Amino acid sequence: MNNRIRELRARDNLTQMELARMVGVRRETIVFLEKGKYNPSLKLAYDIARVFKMRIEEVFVFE
Amino acid sequence: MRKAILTAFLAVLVVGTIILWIFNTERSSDTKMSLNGSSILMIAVALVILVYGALVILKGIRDVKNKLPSQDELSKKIMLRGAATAFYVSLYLWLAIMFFEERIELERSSLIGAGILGMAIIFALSWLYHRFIGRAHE
Repeated sequence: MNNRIRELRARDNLTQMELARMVGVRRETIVFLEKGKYNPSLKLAYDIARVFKMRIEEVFVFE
Repeated sequence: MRKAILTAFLAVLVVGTIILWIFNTERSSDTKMSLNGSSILMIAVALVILVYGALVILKGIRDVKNKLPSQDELSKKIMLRGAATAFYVSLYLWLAIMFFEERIELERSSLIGAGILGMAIIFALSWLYHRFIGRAHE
C-alpha cells in the first residue's frame, strides 16, 4: 500500500510532528508511514485523511 | 506518563529486591563481601532494568513536553512483536542453559541469573530489530 502523506503534508505546510499531534500518534509512526514501512489501522487512515480533507482512498493507494 | 511511573516503580522494586538478595547472600555466606559470578550477574540484571526504566521515564517526559502520546498503535505492535520473537528465542536460550548446566561450573542461581539477563538482552535486541527494520506490509 502506498500513500501520499508526504506530498499532502508539504501541500498543507505541516511538519511530521504537527501531523502526529493532530492524529494522536508518535512522530515515528508518521515517519514509518511515509517510508511505506507501516500500514495504518483503519481509524488512523481515516484520521489522516480527515486532516487533509480527503477520502481514505485518495490518501492511501492499494496496489 | 502513568506507564512511565508504573515502569519506574517496578524497576525500583526489582532492583531493591536484587540488592536485598545480594546483601543477604553475602551475609549468610562465610566469605567476605566479594563479588562472585552470581552477584555480578544479578547486578547486571539490575543495571539493565534500571537503564530500561530510566529510558522509559525520559521518553515519557519528552512525549509530555511535545504533547504526543507515549504509546500509539505502531509502538504497541512493535512491543508485541518484539515480545513474541523474544519469547521464542528465549526458549532456545533456556534449552541451551539446560544443556550446558552440567558442563560448566556455575551455581544454579548464576545460571538462572544468566537466563534472566539473556532474556532481557534478547527482548531488547528483538525490540530494536522490529523498531528499526520495520513491520512493512504485515
